[in-house]
Amino acid sequence: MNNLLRIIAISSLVSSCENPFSPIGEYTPRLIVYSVISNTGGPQFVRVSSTYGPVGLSQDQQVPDTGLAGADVRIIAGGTTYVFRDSLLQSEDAGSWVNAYVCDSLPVVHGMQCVLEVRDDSLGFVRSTTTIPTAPVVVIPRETGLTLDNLMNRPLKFSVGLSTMTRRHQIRLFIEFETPDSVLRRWEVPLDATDSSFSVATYPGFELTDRFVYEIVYPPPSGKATYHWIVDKIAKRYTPAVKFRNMVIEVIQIGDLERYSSVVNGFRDDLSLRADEPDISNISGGFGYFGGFTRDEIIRPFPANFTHDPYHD
Amino acid sequence: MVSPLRYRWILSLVLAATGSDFSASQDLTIYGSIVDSVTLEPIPHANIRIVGESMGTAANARGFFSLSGIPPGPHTVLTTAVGYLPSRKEVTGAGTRSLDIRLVATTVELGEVVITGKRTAHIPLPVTGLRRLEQSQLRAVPVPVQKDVIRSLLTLPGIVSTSDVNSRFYVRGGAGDQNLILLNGMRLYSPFHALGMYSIFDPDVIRSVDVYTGAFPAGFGGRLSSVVSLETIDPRADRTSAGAEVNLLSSRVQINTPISPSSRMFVHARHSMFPDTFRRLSGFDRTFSFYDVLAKVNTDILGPNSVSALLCLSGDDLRSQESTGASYRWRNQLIGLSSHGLIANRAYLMASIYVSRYSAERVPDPYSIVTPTSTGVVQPGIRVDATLYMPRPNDFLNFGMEFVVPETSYDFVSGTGLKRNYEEESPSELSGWIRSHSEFGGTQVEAGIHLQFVNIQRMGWWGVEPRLNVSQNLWSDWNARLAFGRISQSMVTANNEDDLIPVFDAWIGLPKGLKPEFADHYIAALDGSIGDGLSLGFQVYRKQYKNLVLYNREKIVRTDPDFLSGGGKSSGFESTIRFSLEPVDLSCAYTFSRTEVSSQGLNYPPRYDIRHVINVLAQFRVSASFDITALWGFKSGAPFTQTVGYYSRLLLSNPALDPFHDDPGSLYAILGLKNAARLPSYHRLDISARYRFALHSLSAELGGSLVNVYNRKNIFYFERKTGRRYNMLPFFPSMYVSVSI
Repeated sequence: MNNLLRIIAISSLVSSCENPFSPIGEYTPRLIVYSVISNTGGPQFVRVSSTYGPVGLSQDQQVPDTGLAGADVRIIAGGTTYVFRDSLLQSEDAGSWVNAYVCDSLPVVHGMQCVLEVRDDSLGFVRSTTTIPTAPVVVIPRETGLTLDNLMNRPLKFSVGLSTMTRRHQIRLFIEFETPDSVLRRWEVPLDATDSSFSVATYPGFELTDRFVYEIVYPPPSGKATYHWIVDKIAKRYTPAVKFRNMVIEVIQIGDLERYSSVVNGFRDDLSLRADEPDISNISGGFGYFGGFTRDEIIRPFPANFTHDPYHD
Repeated sequence: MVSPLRYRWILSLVLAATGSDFSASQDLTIYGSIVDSVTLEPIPHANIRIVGESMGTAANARGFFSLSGIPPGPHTVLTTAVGYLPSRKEVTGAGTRSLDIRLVATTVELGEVVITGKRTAHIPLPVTGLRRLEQSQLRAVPVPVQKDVIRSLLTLPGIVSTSDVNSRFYVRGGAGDQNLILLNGMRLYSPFHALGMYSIFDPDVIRSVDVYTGAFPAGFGGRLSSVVSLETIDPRADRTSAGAEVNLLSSRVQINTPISPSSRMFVHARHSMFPDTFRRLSGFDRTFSFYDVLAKVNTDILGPNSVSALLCLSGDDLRSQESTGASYRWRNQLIGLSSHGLIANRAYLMASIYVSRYSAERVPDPYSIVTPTSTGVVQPGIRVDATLYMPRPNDFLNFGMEFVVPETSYDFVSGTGLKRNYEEESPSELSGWIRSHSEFGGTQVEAGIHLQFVNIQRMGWWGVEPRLNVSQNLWSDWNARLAFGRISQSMVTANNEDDLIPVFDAWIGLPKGLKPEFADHYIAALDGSIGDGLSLGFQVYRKQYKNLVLYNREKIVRTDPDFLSGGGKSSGFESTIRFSLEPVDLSCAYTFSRTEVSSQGLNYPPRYDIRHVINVLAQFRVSASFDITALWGFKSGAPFTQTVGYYSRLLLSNPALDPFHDDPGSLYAILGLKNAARLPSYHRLDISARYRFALHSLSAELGGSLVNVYNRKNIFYFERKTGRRYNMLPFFPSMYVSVSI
C-alpha cells in the first residue's frame, strides 16, 4: 500500500510539472529595407536594417533594431544604376540621427520602373521593384474655362485622369496671386463649407482611388460658393493691388505603397470585417517596403484682365 | 398502446407508390411502443428480440418499434433497455400484432451502465459513424462544477475541444461550425453558456444523445462534420414530482406534472449563482450570469405522447467591471411543436415545426475603445420524417423533407470606424431524402440520397449527396462496416479560426462568389465483443473537404475578398475498449487524427488538429448508493505559430506628407510557418463521487468532483506581446446536492 501511495505521489509530482515550452522558433537574420522615392526633388533615401532574434518572451525585453552600415545599396532605373552612399540623417526634430543611404542624382519620373537592390556581406541580397505612377491628365472643359464670366458666375469643373498604378490620391485647388509687395502666394480653395459664413471650411483629403477619372466641381452640387469666397477673401486681404496670377491644381498619387500603409495602419477598409493585420512586404528575401509617389502641379494662368472688387463685384 | 390507425389513406398512397403488399404476408409482424411502467415515458433505443430466432430490432428515439417477417408463433418477445429490467411477452399466430411493452426501471444507475456495454453489443448501433450516450452515461462523466451534456461528449473518440474553458468541439478534423446540433430534431445555433464553457443542456433533462461523427444517414445534412441529436426526456404521466439542485456555479429546479388525463408537462430551469466560481474557472475578472429554461408539454391527441410542444430559452450576460471594457449578452430561444405516431401499422411519421433564434451582442462601456458588435440568426424550420417498415425483418424505407429559412445578421464596426452590416444573403435550404435499409443474411445495406437545394445569392444550387452504409456480421457479435457520405454546408461562422475563444458565433450565408462547402466521408469499422465483459471498436476514416470557406489571410485592399475557397483533408483511427465486470466499468478511447487545411497555396494544420487523444473512464460501484468515477484525459499538443524574430516596422501612414526616414516604426513580431509548432501535451485527472440517500420522503443525492487532481499546468495560450503564459483549469474541487420528491 505504501509503495502504491509512493508511486501515485511521484507520478503526480512528475506529471503536474510545467512542461518546458518556448514560443520562440529558430531565428534567421534578414534584411529590412524601406524606401519611398518621389518626384518632389531633392535626394532619395533608403533605410537598411536587420531583424533580430527574440531575446525573451516579452516584447519589453526586445531592443529596437539599429540601422545597418556598410551595405551596398543601389537603384536601377532607365538603364542607369544609381549607387546610394551610407549616411546619417538628422531627424526633423533634430533630436536624433537616422542611418540612411542617400542618392542625390536619381531622377524620379512618371511611369519609371525602379529596381532596388541591397547587398550585405552577412545578411545577403534583397531586391524589390516599384513603378512610379504616370502623370495625371487634367481637362478643363471649354464652357468652364478661365474666362472672366465663368470665373465668378459658374461652378468650376475639371476632370483629373489618374495613373492606373494609383491606389490613393489627393486633388487640391489653389489660387496663386501676387501681393502688393510683389510676394507670390497660394491660398487653397475649400471644397465646401458648413455654412454661408464659411466658419468651418472643408478641404479635400487623401482618398482611396477606386476609378481612374475624377470629375471635380467647385463648389460641389448644393455646396457653398467656395471659389467665389476665396477670391473675395484674397481681394479683401490684399486690396487694392492684388494680382491674380494662376489657378494651380495639385495632384498627389500614391501607388502600391498605399497597400502597405493601409495594412500597417489598421486595415483602412470601410467594408471589411477584418481586424487583424496581414503581413505585407515587397522586398524579396527580406522585409520592409519599396514604393513611390508623385506630386504634380497643373498651372493655368488667370486672364490678364481678371480683377475682383470685393465691395462691388 | 399504439392503436389509432388513423391516416390510413396516406398509408394507402405510400403503399401504392412503393408497390408493397403487406396483407399478402403470412408471417407475423409485431409493432408498438416501449414505455416506462410507472411514468409512461417512452424508452428510446430499447432492444427487441424474438427468443429462439436470430431476429431482433431496436426501438427508435421515441420508443417505437416494428419487426416483420417473424414466422408464425407462438414466440417470446424479449425486450431489454438500459436501466430497466428485461421484459418477456408471448405472441402467437400470424398477421400483425400490437404490443404494449412496459419496462420496470432498475434503481441503480451504475449497474445500468455496466449492463449497457454488454447488452448493446448484441444489436450493434445501426450506423457506422454513430456514437450514442444514454442519460446515465451523461450523468456519470466527471465535469468541472456543473454537469454538462456537450462536455460529456468530449470523452467520445473523434471529438476534441481546444481548451477547458470552451466546449466548442471539433469532430474528426472538422471546424467548430460544422456541427449540426438538434434538440428533438430542431436546430439550435451555438447553444453554449459562459463563453462556451458549458452547453445549455443539463443531463437531467436529456434522455439520450446520438452523435454522428461521419457519413451520417440521408436524413441529415447541412453541416459537414457531425450531427449531435439530443432527445429530451418526456414528462411523466403518473404523478407530480419536483427536484432541485445547487452546485458551486448554479442552481436548478424541475417540476414534472400531469396537467390533465391526456396531457402532462415538465419545466426545468437553471440560474447561475456564484460569480466567483466563473472567475476562478475562466480567469476572466468579469461579473457573469446565465439562465436556461427547458419546458415540454405532451398530449395524447393522436395517441400517447403524440403531440408535444417544446420551449428552450437561455441567456448569458457578461458585465464589464470597469468603464473601459465591454459587456456581452447572448440569447438562445427555441419554440417548436412536434408530432409523431403510427399512421398505420407499418408507417411511422414524425413532424415538427419550430423557430430557433440566436443572438449575441457586445456593448462597449462609455470610455471603451472596443466597438459595438451584434449578430443573430432567426430560423423557422419544418421537418417531416416518415419510416415505412417493410415485410422483411428490419427492412425499412425512410424518407422526408426539411425546410429551413435562416435570417442572419451581423453588425460590426470596420477598421475605419464605419458601422457596417455584413450583407451576405442568408441561404434558404430545402432538403429531401430517401434511404432504404435492407438485410440479406448477415449483411445490412443502407443506401440513401440526400437532396439539398439552397437558394443563396439569388441563385439556386442543387446538391446530390449519396450516403451508403454496409455492415457485415462476421461471427458472433463482430461486425465489419463500410460507410460513405457526401455532405454540403451553406452557412458558416465568420470567426477567425485562430481565435482562442470565439466570443461571437457570427453565422453568415456563403460569402459572394463562393460555392457551398462539401465533404466526402469514408469510414471503415470493426466492432464486437469478447466474452460477456469486453467490447471493442475500431474505426478508420478519411474526409476530403472542398470549397471550404476560409479567412483570406492575404487580404490587402478593399477589393480583396474577406473569405476565400480552400480545401482540406482529415484522416484518423479511433479505437474503443470497454471492460465491464461488477462493480467496475472501464472504458478507454484512443484517437489518432491528422488534419490539414489548404489555402492560397499553403497547407497547414488547423488549431484543432490534435493528433493523439486518450480518454480513460473508470466507474466503480462501491455500493448500491455510492459510486465513484474517474476520468483521465490526454491530448497531444495543439498547433501554434512561433515567433522567429522582430523588427521595427515603419508605419508610413502618409508618405507624401511625412518623411519616411523620420518614421520611428513599431516593434513587430515575425512569425514562423503557420501552426508549425506544437504546444505541450495536455492531461488531467478528474474524480467524482455520488451518494444517494433518502431523507424522509425525499430522494437526495450528494456529489462532488475533484478536477485536475494532480494540478497539471496545461497551457491554454501565451500572450505574444508579453510572453505571459495562461494555463487552463487548476485543481478545482466542487460539490452539489440535489433533492427530488
